[in-house]
Amino acid sequence: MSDLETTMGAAAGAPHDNSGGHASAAAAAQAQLKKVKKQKVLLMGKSGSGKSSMRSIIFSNYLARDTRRLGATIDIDLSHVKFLGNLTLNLWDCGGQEAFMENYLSQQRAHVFSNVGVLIYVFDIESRDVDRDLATYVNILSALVQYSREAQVFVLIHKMDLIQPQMREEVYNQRVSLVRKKTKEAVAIVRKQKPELLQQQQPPGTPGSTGPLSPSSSELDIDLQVFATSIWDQSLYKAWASIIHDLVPNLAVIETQLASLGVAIDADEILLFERTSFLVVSKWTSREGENNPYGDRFERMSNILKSWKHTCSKFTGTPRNAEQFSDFEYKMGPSFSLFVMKFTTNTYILVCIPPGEARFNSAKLNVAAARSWFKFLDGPVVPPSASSQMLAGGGGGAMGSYGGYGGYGAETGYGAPE
Amino acid sequence: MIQGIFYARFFPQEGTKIVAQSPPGCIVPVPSSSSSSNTSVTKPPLFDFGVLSEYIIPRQAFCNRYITVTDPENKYFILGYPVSIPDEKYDRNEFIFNFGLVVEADVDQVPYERVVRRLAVTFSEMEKQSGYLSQSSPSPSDEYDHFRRPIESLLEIIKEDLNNYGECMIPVDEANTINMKLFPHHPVPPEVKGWHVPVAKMKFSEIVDPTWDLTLQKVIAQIDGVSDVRRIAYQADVSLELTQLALRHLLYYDTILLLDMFFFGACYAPRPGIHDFVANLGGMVDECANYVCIGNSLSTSSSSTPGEGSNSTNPTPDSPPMARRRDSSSSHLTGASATSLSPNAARRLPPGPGSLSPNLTRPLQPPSVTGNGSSYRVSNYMLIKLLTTFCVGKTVSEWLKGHLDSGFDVLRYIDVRRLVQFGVIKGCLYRVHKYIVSKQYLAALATGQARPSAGGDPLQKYTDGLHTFDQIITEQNLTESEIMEKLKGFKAPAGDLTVLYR
Amino acid sequence: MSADSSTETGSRSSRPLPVRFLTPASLNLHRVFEQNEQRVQKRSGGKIPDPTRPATKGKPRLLLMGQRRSGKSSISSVVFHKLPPNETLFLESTARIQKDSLNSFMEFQVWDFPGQIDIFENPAYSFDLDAIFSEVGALIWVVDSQDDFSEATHRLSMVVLNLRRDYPHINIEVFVHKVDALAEDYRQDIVRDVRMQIADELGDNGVEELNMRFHATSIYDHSIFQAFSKVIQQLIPRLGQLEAMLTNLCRSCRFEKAYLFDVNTKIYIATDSTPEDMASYEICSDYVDVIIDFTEVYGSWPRSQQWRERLEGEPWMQPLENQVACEWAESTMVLSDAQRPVMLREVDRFLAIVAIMKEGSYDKMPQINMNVDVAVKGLTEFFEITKPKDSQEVVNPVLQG
Repeated sequence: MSDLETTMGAAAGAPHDNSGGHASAAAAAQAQLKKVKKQKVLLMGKSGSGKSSMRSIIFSNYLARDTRRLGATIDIDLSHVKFLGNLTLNLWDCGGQEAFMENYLSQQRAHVFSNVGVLIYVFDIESRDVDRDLATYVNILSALVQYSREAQVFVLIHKMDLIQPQMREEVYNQRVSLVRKKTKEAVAIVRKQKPELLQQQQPPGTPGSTGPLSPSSSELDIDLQVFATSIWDQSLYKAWASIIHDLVPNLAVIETQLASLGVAIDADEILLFERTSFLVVSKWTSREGENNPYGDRFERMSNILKSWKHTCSKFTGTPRNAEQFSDFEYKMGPSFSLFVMKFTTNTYILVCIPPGEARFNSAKLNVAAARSWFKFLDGPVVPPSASSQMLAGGGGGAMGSYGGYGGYGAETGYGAPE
Repeated sequence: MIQGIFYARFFPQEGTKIVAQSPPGCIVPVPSSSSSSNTSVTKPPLFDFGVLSEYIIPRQAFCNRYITVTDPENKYFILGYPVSIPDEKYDRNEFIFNFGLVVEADVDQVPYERVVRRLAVTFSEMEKQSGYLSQSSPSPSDEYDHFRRPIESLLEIIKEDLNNYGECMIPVDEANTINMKLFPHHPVPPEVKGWHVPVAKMKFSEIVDPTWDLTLQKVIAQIDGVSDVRRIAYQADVSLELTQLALRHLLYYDTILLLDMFFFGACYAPRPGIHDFVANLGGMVDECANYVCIGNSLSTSSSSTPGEGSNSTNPTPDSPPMARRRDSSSSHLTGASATSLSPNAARRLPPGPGSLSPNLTRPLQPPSVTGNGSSYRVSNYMLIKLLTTFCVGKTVSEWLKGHLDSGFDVLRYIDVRRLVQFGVIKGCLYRVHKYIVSKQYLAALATGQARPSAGGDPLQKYTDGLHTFDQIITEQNLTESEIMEKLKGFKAPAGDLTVLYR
Repeated sequence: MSADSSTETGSRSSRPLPVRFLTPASLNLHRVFEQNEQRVQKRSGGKIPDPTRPATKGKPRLLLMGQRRSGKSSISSVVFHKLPPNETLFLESTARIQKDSLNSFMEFQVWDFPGQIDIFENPAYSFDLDAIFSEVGALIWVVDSQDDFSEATHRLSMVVLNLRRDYPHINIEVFVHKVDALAEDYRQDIVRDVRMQIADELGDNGVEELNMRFHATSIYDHSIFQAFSKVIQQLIPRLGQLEAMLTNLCRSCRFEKAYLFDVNTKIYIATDSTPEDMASYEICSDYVDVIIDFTEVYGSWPRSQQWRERLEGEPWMQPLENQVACEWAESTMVLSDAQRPVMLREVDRFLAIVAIMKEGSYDKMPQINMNVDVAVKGLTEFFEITKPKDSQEVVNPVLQG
């Protein structure tokens, strides 16, 4: 977290910079880039619920069937996942055995639950002791709220493939309502036991300028998102894309630039994938493209391209993590054309455009030309000043989230003497 | 001492758990179901298991190797060997367990490493063969209790036996027996030279049994406290190298001492340790009197049957540092039965007066004294006087003559060889060795002409000042005077040869 | 996680389930399949349908036979209905003859016989053997390699003995199935064992020559598709000419390997003359999958009129159909490894050429495309000629082959 601290210092220093508003805006942007560089992501859930399996599939290019060879995670498995150039996920894969869980909640409580950006809690849909799972969930959540109130919570109802297809929706809905109920309970417990927590959330030393955006202290609610997942289909990609989506810095900038690219080449849809995980980082869809009936197409594309990558790796005999294909062109007669290509160092781009040879060729050239707009995806570089207009637009939001982090940093300070 | 022993296992649901421990509660508190009736207060655990559990069942990378951890208070070492057996038949594809020991932090852990490794190997083999560990259901049902008992009691036996006897031999099932022994960790013993004289520190006749190594048995039979290594080899009909090896083995287990050959022509001189003797520290002088005085037979036990080969286990002549070491490492000797080896038992034997290797003394004892039954006890003053009058440049015979001249019939009351031996062992005396140096030969060596006189005198190679007369005597099979004669016959310029004492 | 799931749900299947990566398209098709199946079962209402409906006349027929639970229905579901292999667990055992009609480059039928019915000695029903077997192209006998197969081989030899007099031309194909649970080295041993048992049984009954082929198959990898490819290829008239055309294409375009795929089933109906290997089949077959998925996601919804008008207006000023070079799907993809391109080109609604090219040929794509155009034209003509003009005229296409 020293990272965070230094960033705060830089931000505080920014106003003193006399070299003009433009420079200070750039400095702020830079600070913001640095700040979100490392995100602590907790991956928790009962033992055998599939945490390590999904982590291996998403970030280590495992095939779903390979995951049965994985052993149990002992204690906490820390990994630093480089995701795009300027975002590192500090992934804490926490072994879910009861003894470990007790340990996280007692001895390691502060260590595990402070400074958490995201908690991903995995439920095994096939679990026999649902009550007990939920009780553990409530405990974990209380600890999280106590130490990292700002953390986002994602709940994955996992192993949905084990439920008969026609039953899935019903089972899932039941479980979701249970989880939501328990989440409320957890919050209620914390509110009752630690009312002082609410006061302390408003630390006097917060960089006050961004105060209004920090959540009001009277409400203590959890931003909960629930997904049904299975490692055997694209549902996993949907969940993880949403998790990643909120963590990607400069999202607004990416989206704006993607949109202008889309309009320029007259595309129907553009998807931007992270290179290793093939998670959708950002997407843009034309008005015509919005008519596409497949709402799940983004995670489907992730899944398709990733399994295609595996096929190529099997054929060429090169390691799975290596780059496998560079140019994928597909022209479906008079219906549509599509290409997938390496974009920046860390990303692939998928472009779906209307049919036509001339249109296709110029689109490919234009996309290649647009690479330089997105260079910032590869490293902690401030987006080019040419797009400072867009940056300003994104800047407001950035400052907002920044305020939230102020409160969070102060909380760290509070937690330390304990 | 083993403070605690435990069996930990990783369960796919519960995580790391102590399945069995001894004594109960040493690692994790025992569920207090029966403790309410049990009035004895169970001691708190030796350390916080929660803190160290990740080292007891560690992640994959640390499995299948010997791991030691100190507890946060630095009081205990936890020695373990976490074993991970990968197999698809197990839930989560692997079976992880650890049999560990807890010992105090200041104890030498080396002997325990082998125990820990052995437990790991034995149980992982048994698990691989028959699923010994995994077959027993880990669920807290009645099956669990059934499972728990044998391992728990097994651990208790192991701990008790190792602590009390230094070894254990426990049949686990029809096919497997746990055979373990704490081997003390000793420094590598010094080289055994041909001119050394081994002296037994214990009664070999009592501990040797026919299963011992045959060469060792032959060699041991020849150890009499007088014969040098070369002679032992000859008499035992064993090559010199093997004899040296065998004696080194005995030396490693601290069952023999190496001394020099005793000659009346040899020189001895006092060492700083003599002060202790003068001050009679710890009754040293009385001890000496018991040992060296002829006919001072207060007890009739062993001295009444001299020559029976009964080397005593009397540790009296132990050199002090050695004795201390034996205390610490609860000495256990190869093949020795546990009871006869219990070091305390051995040490508590009262110093049997005159019982130390009576057979050694016989060949050397002047005939005039043998059989003398008088129980004259030489005064402490006299003993001190005798011992302090050794000096550089005075051979034992000269020393003897001096005392005889001053009116004390040393040979009548004192076994001189024993007196010298006592002095050396106790660090009061040291042997002044005699060397011969040839300037010519040294010069030849220095210029690289190492063999100036091929086919020359066989003694020439000893004239570099690195070889004691003892060595020449044993290797050339000459007496000292014969050597001196030969040296005189050397074709060398006058003053080339020098005799050095040091 | 998945290891857990298989053990926890052990009641359903005791063996581990290697599962092919699931494509979304197959999920969707699976839903369609299920609905169809429910409808069919409802309609047939437990009765064994008369196996000789006139509608089936003229189409070569594949019979799937074998013991109960040997995996017949799983095979037909996976191959012909794209059911994800792991979902075959939910399949119930077939109680009556299940018939599927396949409309592809060649129309044929797949009949799935329930394992418990012995068509030759059934007291309850008497089967019109002639109706069943007269138009059969191939009989596929499924043997469960994980089970004791002596009963299965015994029954197969009974079938062979019953058929050889009246229908000597039926190709008998033995699928030694569920080999996924066996070690790679062991698979061929099992196949050999099965072959020997059958040879022994037939030998005891005086039949010396073993007129059948053996395939080691599993629904969890590509082997079942490869085996079906071999079966289907037997039914194709003038296969040699098709192969010659592909070989020619390979030579002129410097292809490493080319396949002619039936897109719907991923069965390849012909390949060039270079030796076949599993690896190149797999990548080509998966390529077809990717293309199907892309097509489904981005090609299955009607674009609006404005969209079309805009695209056909300034500055192009011509209908979309004229703006594209190829009426059907065409695709290329470059493998990063040695820069080898892989290409796919649809011939018609059912067939596609998939080829792996030699390294560095990406620069020559325009020429290659022209060559492929010619080849596609040739193939189209080929199928025009060999197509049965009228179902009545062609008695049995197998005989021609």
